[in-house]
Amino acid sequence: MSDTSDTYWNPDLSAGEHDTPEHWAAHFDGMDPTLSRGRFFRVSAEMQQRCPVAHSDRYEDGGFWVLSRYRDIEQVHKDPATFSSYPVVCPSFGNLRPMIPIESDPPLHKPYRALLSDFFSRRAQLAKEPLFRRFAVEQLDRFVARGECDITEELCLPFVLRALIDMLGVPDEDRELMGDIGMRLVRMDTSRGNPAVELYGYFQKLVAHRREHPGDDVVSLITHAELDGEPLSEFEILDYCMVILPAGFETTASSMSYTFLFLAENPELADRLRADPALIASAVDEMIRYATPVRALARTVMSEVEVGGQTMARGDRVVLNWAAANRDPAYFPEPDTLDVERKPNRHMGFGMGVHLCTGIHMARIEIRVALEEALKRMDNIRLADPAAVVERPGSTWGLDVLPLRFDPVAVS
Amino acid sequence: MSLVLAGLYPSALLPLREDLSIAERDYVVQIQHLARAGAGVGGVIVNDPAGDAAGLSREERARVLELAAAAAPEGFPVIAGIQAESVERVVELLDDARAHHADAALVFPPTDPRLTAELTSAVDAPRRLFAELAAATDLPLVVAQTAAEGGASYPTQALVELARLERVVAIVDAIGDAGRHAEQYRAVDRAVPLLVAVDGPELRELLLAGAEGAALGISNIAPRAWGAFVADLLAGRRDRSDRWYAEVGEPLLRALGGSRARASGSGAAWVKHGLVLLGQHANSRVRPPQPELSEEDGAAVREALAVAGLLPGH
Ligand code: HEM
Repeated sequence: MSDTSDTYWNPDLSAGEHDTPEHWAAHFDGMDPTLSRGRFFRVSAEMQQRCPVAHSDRYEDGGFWVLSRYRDIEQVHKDPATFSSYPVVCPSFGNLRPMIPIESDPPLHKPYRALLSDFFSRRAQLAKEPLFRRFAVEQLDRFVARGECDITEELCLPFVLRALIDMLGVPDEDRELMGDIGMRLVRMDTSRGNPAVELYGYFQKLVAHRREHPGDDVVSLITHAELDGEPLSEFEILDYCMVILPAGFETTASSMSYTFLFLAENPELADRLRADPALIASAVDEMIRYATPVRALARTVMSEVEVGGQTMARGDRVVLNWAAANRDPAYFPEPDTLDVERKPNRHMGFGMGVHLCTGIHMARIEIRVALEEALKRMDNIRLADPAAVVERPGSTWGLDVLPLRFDPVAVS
Repeated sequence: MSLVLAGLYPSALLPLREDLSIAERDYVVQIQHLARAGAGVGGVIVNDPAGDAAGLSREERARVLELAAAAAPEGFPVIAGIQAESVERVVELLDDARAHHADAALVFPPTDPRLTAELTSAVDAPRRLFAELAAATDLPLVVAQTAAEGGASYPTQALVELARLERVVAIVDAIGDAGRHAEQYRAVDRAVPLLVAVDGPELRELLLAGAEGAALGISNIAPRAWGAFVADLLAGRRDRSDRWYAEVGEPLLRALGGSRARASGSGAAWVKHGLVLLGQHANSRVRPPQPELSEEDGAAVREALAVAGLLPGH
């Protein structure tokens, strides 16, 4: 099918000659840029039908398994002792120390995770809602009057980064520096050095500062935390800090950007949410199911196990295709319909089981607040030009550029 | 006896804090790191007396076992290294290993010089010792013989008899002499598997002289690659194994496990320092009597990792 449509999201569009079910069954690569525009979901549905436990020869020596069925992936989530979370990306970054807690396994994972459970509880994050709202409005006020914007650049990224900087307890004087590192990290911009190395260096300084001057923030909490009556080691503290920013940044900003894309391409949906803002909360989760920005992460088999009729050996790598699971017709009636009132909606957009996203409440509130405030101020939201959209593949997919037009609405 | 040993068995390094106490969580991570390293890695050896275990108290060794057993997944045997001066102390440690869920015991010759002399010369003495140990425990036993030089290795006929004992499931051989090793391998005739335990450049030759696997301290560094190397070499996939060995394995063994490291007796500190340079460990501290690493040795480790292409930026 050639690209004659004026919508960006177009899963049935062919990606070229290689775009055949046979190709993907043997060479699936969740970061293949030709899976953009929603093709990822068409290909995943085909795999779910034809080879729900596929084996791809890409990346790692010996390739990796790809699971597409909800129930198979659920089996993995329920058995973290058999399916190690390290390395959690495929191909691996090559980090030799597991990132905490996302790559930690039992018995360490639970105590690590518990350190932040109060901080990230729904109640604690709801208390931050007014602050998040202020950050969102500040960003919106900068461009709404123009009637056009790149929503990723002007709202999603700066708003989410602002919230994270606050959460981490970055002092005012370092905000700009941290913002710069954060943006380069998300864009994988190494033109001025490696932002991950800079981030590590910055956290070393921040941790030292928070040892002396604790605050009400995540870095202070981790720095002063104790496990079994002992403080965390320097490595543990830094390995924990290093996870939070990337885990909370690109994921949330990407989810937000896809949400705006779907609203722009489904104006009746935007009208419905504007008319009934109470639906926005469930709409957020449905958009995350529908876009599944964190498409797939990986596990390592720790002892021989059978999944979906296939035997996996110790050391085998397994990719969990959450995007496929989130459209599994065995779990979601009419899975390809965006139903903002879907109930139940036990999607895997935030993962599942013991590694379920720690920041789930923070992310939901941020996206809801951004939508509430944007829908008040932006009417008739539409894509400025589908050809100008830039989508970025990765473990987390996102829209780097999303130009929108809209009718500004004055809010008193 | 259901435990069949084959493949690579890294002797897990014990991470210590600056004050030389055991960094327990880091140790759990280390065991899990080895367990995830693919099917080539058959299990793990803990409390290796050639490493930090020699400087641990009985309680600490028990704790190490407990941590390893809790961290190791099903089907990934934890083999408790056991060495003591007397047979009674060996039996005590066997009891501890049993109580803390080890899957097998790797029994080194008792260190009492009189016993060592008897075990290495009298053909019947090793059989009597292991029969006594087998009566004292229901753990599968792995017979360890240490380097010929300064260690204790058993007469070939004694090994043949040990291999016939029901409780003995494998022999770990660190004598490092290819001719003698081949002779013992032929004599044992696959009654039990033989694992080579030599962290030195002669490793490949020893494996080819006859073995079902290896027990290596150096494989704490890049365990997946070491596991694949041993599996490939023993399965005759020589293209892959030889290429990797020439490029990575041998340079590492030459420096990290070579004669200098062994002469200084500081193998554990060398390997730990390698992990520090790779960013995996926080420090390279070791418990006395293990000697700390000298600055010169530290530089040699760095050089070895660089030559093996493991250091970022090289
Ligand atoms: C819409 C935005 C987000 C999405 C889609 C998302 C997605 C996910 C997913 C799929 C996982 C599971 C990983 C696995 O099982 O291997 C996860 C884990 C995690 N997320 Fe999020 N995330 C989001 C926002 C956030 C935020 C805002 C934070 C914190 C500020 C955060 C912190 C974490 C952490 C620490 C983990 C690891 C949890 C563990 O291993 O126990 N995430 N996230």
